[in-house]
Amino acid sequence: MSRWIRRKTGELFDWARSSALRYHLVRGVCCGDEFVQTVAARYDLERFGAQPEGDHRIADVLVVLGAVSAHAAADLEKLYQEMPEPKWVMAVGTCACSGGVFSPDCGGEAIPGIGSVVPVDVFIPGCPPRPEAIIDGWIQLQAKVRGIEGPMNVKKRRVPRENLLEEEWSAP
Amino acid sequence: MNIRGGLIEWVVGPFHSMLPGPIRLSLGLDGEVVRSASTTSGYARRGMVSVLKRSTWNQGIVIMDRLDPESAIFGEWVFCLAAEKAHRAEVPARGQAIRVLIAELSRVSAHLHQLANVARSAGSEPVFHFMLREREAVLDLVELASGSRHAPAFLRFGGVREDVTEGFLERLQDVCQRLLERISEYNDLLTYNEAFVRRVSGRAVISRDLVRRHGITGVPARIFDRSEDLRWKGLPGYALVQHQDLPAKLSSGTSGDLHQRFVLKLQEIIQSAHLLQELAQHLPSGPFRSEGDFTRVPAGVHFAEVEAPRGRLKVEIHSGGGTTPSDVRFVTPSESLLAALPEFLIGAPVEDLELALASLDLQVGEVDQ
Repeated sequence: MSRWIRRKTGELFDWARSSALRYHLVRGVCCGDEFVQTVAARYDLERFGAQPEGDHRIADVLVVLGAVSAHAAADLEKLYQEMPEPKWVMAVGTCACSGGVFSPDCGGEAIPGIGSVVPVDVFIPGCPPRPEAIIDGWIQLQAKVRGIEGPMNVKKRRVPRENLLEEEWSAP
Repeated sequence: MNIRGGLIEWVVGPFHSMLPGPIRLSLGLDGEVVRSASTTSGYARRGMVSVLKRSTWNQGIVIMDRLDPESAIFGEWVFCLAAEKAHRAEVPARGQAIRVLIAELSRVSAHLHQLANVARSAGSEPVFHFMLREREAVLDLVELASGSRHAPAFLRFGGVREDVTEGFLERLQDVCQRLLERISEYNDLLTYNEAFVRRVSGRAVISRDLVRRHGITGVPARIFDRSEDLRWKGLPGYALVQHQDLPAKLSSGTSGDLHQRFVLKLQEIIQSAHLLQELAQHLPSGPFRSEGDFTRVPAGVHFAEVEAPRGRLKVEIHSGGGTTPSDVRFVTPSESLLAALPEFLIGAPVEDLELALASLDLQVGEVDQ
């Protein structure tokens, strides 16, 4: 019984936490522009409970925007280590995900994906990713915080086999 | 002063929400006032030049988008201008006009973003959202023309990628009209707002002396000299439109403080909106791209400059006559701003730091490349 209560309390905490995530922005070079537009009135990331946080020492999510240079990798790692648990990392933009055109393979000096420096929870590719993609990434992050792997609607929806194609076509 | 009588050292960065990008500031504080400042850059270095050297000339246009992502088109434009000079290629009038359309839209979007940052740093969250709302409309237009909101990859050597989309010009007129109407809202909310004027006037001064010594271009220089603008000095494309004069002097004089730069930026947005309207009415007909083989650029060193939203962007391309550049060198407007930054911050109280940094309009990615 006590284990059941503990588990349910934990789930309640996770559910509450997922709608009140405070993010700290790490501005690489690009993509910050598009993130600002996502926060602004039309896309309004704040309706998902995302709150900007200037101090990384009390933030939940580290949002890395765009390419991080190899010269700044140690600083990024330090920033991550200074954050309190539980913590999540979101990589916005192809450069943050894999280095993109500025990866060492192409002759650039950006680190080939911030995954080599900090553990990343959500990758959002795009150069820069559209606000819709960033919002989708945020929803995936919320699902992960709640302990559900993958987007919630996919897991819960039951589609009869014969209607699968039709369902795909009519999906928004 | 601390207990030993020296300055208190405060190191900010490289990643801090106050900073315009990855840069490290070492400040010496005497109580609440900055007494010494120095900067360390290089945290945003992505190796732009070595990537450019490995890509073909046409791929280079896409890389140049990422030089200054807020006003991507100007990177492309200056690169194309330099290559076209080497080819001695003529861009058709329609191509030039479409270039100017996209470039001015970019300028409006960059100015709006910067003013929004200033508004937020000054503590006015509503104006931040209002300005980004207008910026959305402008970005939608860029998307309608090029298919991408921020990195259009729209220019080609000898013209542009494609003609303007159907319905683009009508929508452009609408957006410009709405922009002009809304500017008066911003004036009510901020420009003539007693609280804002008191907060910013006399703060974050970029004096004439600082402009001259560090070679600052763009809006801080235009405060003192309105003719400091390449657009009306023979930048191709702008001959198609009538020169819209800015008011020769601002009513509050010319000290170069934050409020004056704010007002001048608003006026430049109005100027750009008028220019866009005029150009949309008289868009020349004909081809939008000149035919020719642009896969190689003739050997030599070729130079070009444009007036980007932050100031003068210059590029020098070195070609060995092959399909890739052998070297590319930039002089970006943010370089001189970064050089002036320590001097600019000295004497500022700590509470003004965020506002001062936001008003400087510095793009670190442009400096470190």
